[in-house]
Order: sequence, then C-alpha cells, then structure tokens
Amino acid sequence: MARSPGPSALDRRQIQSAWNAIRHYRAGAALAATADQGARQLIVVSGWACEIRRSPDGRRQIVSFVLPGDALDLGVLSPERDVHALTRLEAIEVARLLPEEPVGRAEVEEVVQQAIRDREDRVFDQMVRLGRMNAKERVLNLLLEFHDRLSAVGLTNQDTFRLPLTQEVFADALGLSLVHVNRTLSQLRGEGKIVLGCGEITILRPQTLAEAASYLRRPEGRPLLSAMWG
Amino acid sequence: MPQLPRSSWSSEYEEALRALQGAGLSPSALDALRRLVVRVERYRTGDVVPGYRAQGRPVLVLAGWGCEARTLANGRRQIFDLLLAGDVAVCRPAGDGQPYQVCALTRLVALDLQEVLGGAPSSVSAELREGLAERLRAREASRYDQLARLRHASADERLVSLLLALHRRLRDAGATQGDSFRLPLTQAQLADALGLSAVHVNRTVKRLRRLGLVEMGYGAVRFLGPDALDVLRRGQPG
Repeated sequence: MARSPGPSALDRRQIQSAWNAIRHYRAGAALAATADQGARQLIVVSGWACEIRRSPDGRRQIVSFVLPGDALDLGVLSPERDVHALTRLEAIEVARLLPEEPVGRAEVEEVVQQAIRDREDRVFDQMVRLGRMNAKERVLNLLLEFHDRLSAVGLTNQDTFRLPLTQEVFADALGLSLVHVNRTLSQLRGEGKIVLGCGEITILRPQTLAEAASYLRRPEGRPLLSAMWG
Repeated sequence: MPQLPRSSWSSEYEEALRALQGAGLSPSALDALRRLVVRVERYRTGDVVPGYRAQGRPVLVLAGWGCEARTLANGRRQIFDLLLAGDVAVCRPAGDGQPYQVCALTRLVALDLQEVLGGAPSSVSAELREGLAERLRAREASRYDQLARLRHASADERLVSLLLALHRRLRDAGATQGDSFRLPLTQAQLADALGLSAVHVNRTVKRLRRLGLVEMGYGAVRFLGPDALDVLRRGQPG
C-alpha cells in the first residue's frame, strides 16, 4: 500500500516563495481565523491537529485529525467547532500561494477546495468507527487512515511513520478507555500486525489489514504538496 | 410558440414545501418551485439515489424517507443522517472510496435540484438557491448530533435523542400531531442509524414503554403524557 507520492499540486518553488507567510502554532494552540477574508484558507505544512466539536451539553468529541497536506477553511470555525494543534504546527495561507495568472490560480483553488471537502468527509469514517466497529477495528482503521494520508504526502518510510499522539487523544478519538486502547495495541503487536517504538509505528501488510478493518480507501488524487521539507 | 412543460406537482409533496416554508422560504418562491417541477425521480425501499457527477448531485426529498449511509464489506451498515421531506442531500456517484450513498428507506420521491434551478427564471432561482443551500447547511448540525450520539450515549439515550430530534424536525414541517409523529422505519433501520443491533433496539423500545416514556409501533411514535417529553429532554445527551 506504500505509494510513492506523485507530483503534488503545489511545487517546491511555490511553497518556498511563500515561506515568509507561514504561520506557526504551538502544541495546544487553537487555529483561529483572522479578520482578513483572504487568510481563511490554510494548508498544513507540518505537524498534527484535530477538529473538535462541542455539543450543547458541553461534551466534546474529536471529529477528525488534521495532518500535513490537509487544507482547512478557518471561516467555518466557531466556539462549537474548533481546530487545535496537537504538536507544533506550521501552515501556509492559501492566498499567498495562488499564482498570478488566472488559469493557474483557478486550478490551485479547485485543488484546495477538493482537499477541504475531502477532509470534511472524514467525519463519516469517524461515525462508522464509533457506530459499527469493535475496539480492534477502530484502532486499526484509524492507524490505516494515518498511514494512507501520510504516505500520500511522502511522510512514511516503507510502512513506518511517526505517530505524535498521546494515548489519551487516541482513546478519546476512538471512544475507548485508555486501558482498552493499551490492551488493543498490545494485542495487535502480539498478532504481528503492528510494530511500535520510539514514537513510531509500522503497519505490517496494510493491504490485508485494510479489509479486516473495513478501511475505505479514497481514490488516489494529486496531493496538495509533498514532503520536501521533511 | 413552444409550449411550457406541464408541472407534475402532486399534493403528496406539500409536506416538503411546509418544511421549506418553516425554514424561511417565501410563498412566492415555493409557488415557483411547484411550477418548476416537471420530472421527479421515484425510488423503492433500499434503492440508491444515484449521484452521477463527480462532485455529487443535490436533490430535494419531496416525499418519503431516505438516509445517507455506508455499507461495509462485511454487510454492516451505518446510517449517518435521516432525510425527510423537504431535506436537501448531495448524492455521491457510485464507486469505491465514496464516503456515503443516499438510499431510500421507504418509497422516496426526489427532485434533481440542478435541473430545476437551471430552468428557473433568475428572479426566483437566487432565493431558491440560497434557501436550499441553507437547508443543506442545517443538515450539517444534525450530522454532528449523530456523531455525539454515537460517541457518548447509551442505547436508551441514543434512541431517545434520535426520536426527539425527529420530533423537532417534523414539528417544524407541521408533520407532528401533538406528541405523536409517523415513523415509517423498521427496527433494523433504526439499529443502523443508532449503531446498535436490531435486538438491542427492540429491547430498548420495550424498556422505554415500560418506563412510561415513549410508545412505538404501527409506524408511529407517541411520547406518553405531557411530562414524558420534558423528562426525556432533561435526560438526553444533547
């Protein structure tokens, strides 16, 4: 399942020319929209975040994770819906990346819109995990999602990738207790499905596991960017 | 002189219009919609409403119940949101990798919105377009309620919170009779919406009746006694 990232929609030159437009966030910081309309859309260049929803009774749930290569529309955020950096995070304003000439501009805008829609569609995967999967399927399904998304932007090495999540966040996202997550991870390790160590995880034979965990693969699109900064 | 195609409007679709009126569309826009309906799509229980276009196809539910759902390879199904008369949904094309499909849960009549709005004079199409886009945004909130239900709630809470949400949506469309409303879903369909098994739903329905809170059967739901709704609202997860 390891894919070599194809040519990305935005090339190195475009990103570098906008290097001074990069926004930096600390772990735990909330990504907020600025008053400037043009700065509403961001592309995450490095780091992890998660989208959180609050229900009227104050309970919070993690809706989805935000990874490098994701596009976000900050204009839709509100006190009930926000995005928190889980690690140090860098993001670029889309407006600063858009080419001058209208044709190239329209193309980049379309790719960014599609990336925003794709990201928002991940709420459905989260509902399936919570509604229709047992603990082992939930854990595997989410790990496979991380693997696929990171490999699309060139952030996996073979089938190994960095997993900068605490087990608390992981458990919270999956609706499982910490103990349950722990037990499930060691089960998966015992069955030779994953290897864990030093903030990294390796998924063994992801293709086979995808079926077992009812993982829905998205059609391969062109990634917004690839990991030339990695 | 070319003859205008005749509207194929049926009184069966009035409930959808009442829902749209409740959502703020003006009587003149609704009247225009009535006249613009030339071709409707009819689906049977279980049918998938096709999406055709890669970006998806927006439809308006004119009658019947539908849902957005995903069926897993092992046959299990999760319903993400229920679609009632007057709801707008974006149907996705068939094929792998689609996050959901729109399916009919009963007989369903739907209207292709691009087709309808394409033929509308610009004076009404702007209001219709905006009103229908607002309908679509409203459904996003109900999607996140569903996520909260699956994440935090017990079986009792899930069922109660879904019934209360349906009561609220149907009341806004004038489709409730006091504390009762029609619910044409099977317990298996409810189970798919609640992330439970059909057996579990059946047990939960029985328990709620025993507690004197809700009665379900014969395609209808009745909240028992004026207090039941209050009790349920206070105890529900959100």
